Amino acid sequence: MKAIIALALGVLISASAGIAQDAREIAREMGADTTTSVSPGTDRNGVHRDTETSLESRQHAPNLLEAAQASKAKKQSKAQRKQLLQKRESVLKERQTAAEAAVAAVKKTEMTEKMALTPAETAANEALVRKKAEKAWDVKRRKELDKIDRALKEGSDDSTEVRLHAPSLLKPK
Amino acid sequence: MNRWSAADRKGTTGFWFAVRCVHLSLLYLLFFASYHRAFGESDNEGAYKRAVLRGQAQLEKSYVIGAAADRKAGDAKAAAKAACPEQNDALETSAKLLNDEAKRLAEEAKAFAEKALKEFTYAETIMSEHSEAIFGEGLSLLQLKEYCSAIRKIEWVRKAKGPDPETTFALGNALVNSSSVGSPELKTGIDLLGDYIRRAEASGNPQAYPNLAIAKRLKEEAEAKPKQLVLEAKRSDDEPNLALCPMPIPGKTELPFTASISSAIGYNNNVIALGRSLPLPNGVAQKSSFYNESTFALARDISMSHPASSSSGWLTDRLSLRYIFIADTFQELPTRDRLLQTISGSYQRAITPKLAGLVKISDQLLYIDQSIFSNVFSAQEALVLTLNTRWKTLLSYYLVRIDGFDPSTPATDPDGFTHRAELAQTVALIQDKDDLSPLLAFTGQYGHEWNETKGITGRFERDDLLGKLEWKGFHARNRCSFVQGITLALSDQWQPDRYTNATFSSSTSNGLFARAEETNAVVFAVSLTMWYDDSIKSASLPEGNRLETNFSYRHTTRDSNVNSKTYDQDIFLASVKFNF
Repeated sequence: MKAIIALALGVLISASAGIAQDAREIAREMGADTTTSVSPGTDRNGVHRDTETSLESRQHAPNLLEAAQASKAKKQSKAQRKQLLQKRESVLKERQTAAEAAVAAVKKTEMTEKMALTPAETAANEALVRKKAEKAWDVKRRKELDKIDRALKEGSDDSTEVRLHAPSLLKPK
Repeated sequence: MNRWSAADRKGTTGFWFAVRCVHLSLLYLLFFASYHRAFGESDNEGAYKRAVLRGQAQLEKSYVIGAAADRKAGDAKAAAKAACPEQNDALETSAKLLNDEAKRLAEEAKAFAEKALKEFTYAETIMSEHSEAIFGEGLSLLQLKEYCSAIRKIEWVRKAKGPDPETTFALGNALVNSSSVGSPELKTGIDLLGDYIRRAEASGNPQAYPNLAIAKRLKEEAEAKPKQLVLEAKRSDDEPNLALCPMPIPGKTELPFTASISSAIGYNNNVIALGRSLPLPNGVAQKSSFYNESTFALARDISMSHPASSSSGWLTDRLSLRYIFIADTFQELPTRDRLLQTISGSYQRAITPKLAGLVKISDQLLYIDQSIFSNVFSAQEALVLTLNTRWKTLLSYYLVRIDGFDPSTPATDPDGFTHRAELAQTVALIQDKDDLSPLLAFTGQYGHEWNETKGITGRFERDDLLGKLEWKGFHARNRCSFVQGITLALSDQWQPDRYTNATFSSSTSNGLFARAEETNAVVFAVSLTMWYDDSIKSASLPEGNRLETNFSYRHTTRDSNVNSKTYDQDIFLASVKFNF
């Protein structure tokens, strides 16, 4: 390894010959040599983090777990979905029945009062009555339908929502 | 015989009357004191109860909003996953919007948990001996993901009033969330969750155990962690450059950059690199000095991905940016004070699942004694071959431009280019049996350099051989441990330099000879990472440690055929670094 043996006292004929190396040596001493991809000792200033550390396969614990209460998007079973769809259908049917009942009531009134209306007027009247009945139904029951739709969309019903619950800290005496 | 006269008796009665009055007064005072005490206590109890109930209500709100945030995050993940196989802008936008919404909700949930914590802390100050408020604090801290403080509070409650199902669940939850594979804490957490589940199922009244579903899921996930880690390691082993799709959302750091400040105390026994047995130069009293090293650094790593051209899937890209400012001030040799500013940027792009290309440019400005000394610009182009998680090869070419600003003659002009070809090889010799991280790694590096300076005296060729062993003596498997890691490194670097031109004359021969020398540097270093903090965990700081201490010893020996160039140098340095 050590092949060179100092020959004799060398006489420096020129002032400073090593400024180029000096700058890099000083940078190495200060732990920031950028002209190499590996740092001697430890990379205390993170200069070579991009070229030195790539073998890390370990993941720290927090990365492995999601939040405690993350509700898993549970896929509904076929039976659950069918039940929800049936419920939706029956609610929609109720809406339709309510509208038809309102139209029938108006028709009955027209007949009993022997009102003379043109077919166009009758149709417009019926449409108006149907719309009004549907609106009235929406005010009362729309939320129920929305709830079913949401449950179908999200794949889970509100009642099956998984979340943390705070225990009752103060027990009744 | 009655020794007391009537007057005496009268006086005695008066005396007893006075005693009775004092007695009554004392009783009265005692009664009032106890009444006030009782009244005050009842007041305190009321305030305590109100604070606990308020805290509980805030916590419940936090849970509801937190669950909504998690649902949104889950939807975002699903949308991002659906957008993966082929880039789907609409789905990506939808995922981004959902993520933003999830972040907003998570912040809201955090705010409610903080409010709950305040209420419980207030309740604790009113009646410190009651455990409900302290358990409430533990639950709030758990919701805030401050697991270590939560564990301390919950354990206190369990000690004070004995374990009950809800403290069992909360402690199990905190432990599995704060520990990793191979840790006893993870095992304890799984056992506690199992205990809670067993009790709930045996009770015949699952409604009394509202967290049963979550306990089951947490236990399932915690038990699956080792298997999941093995699968991930296998995937990385097979195709190290393959990117996960969707890319994991980077952790939120307080600043756009990871910043750090460090302060070090060092001792250099030969600051001026004085030749062996040479006298001190005029005006210099000593060659050794204590010194202080102060560092300020900024770092940012950005992970990206692009579709693989050869196969399906995505490949990783990484952009790294650095700014480092280092100032050394010498106590006894102020003329050697130095200041180094480094700015660098690198971009690594995967070409195949195992091969990547890297470009790194950097610029270093060095000041000595408040005067500009040199500027070193380097450009590295490299091929990075990562065969698996144990084997990495780097083949590089560097073009280095050096400009010196000290006065020089045409023959000694240091300005010019240096070329360096380098081969670096890292092998993980021993991996952790639980989390498969490298415990003992060996790095070997060979570099060959040649330069083209303007002045002829500085032209040389160099071989550069480095061997390094790095041993991770300890790494924490839970975030509550103050010391997160201890790494020991030992390296040896050998550099034989052969100068091209004969510019030196010898007293023993008539002709000129070319300078030739060998430099050997041995470095021993110990690094301790401490104080885990999730908020600063990022790609630039994967360990997420706030504190870091380093101790290093460097011994340099240079042998040369020019006597004035031979020297020995020892440097000790102990530093403390704070990341924020």
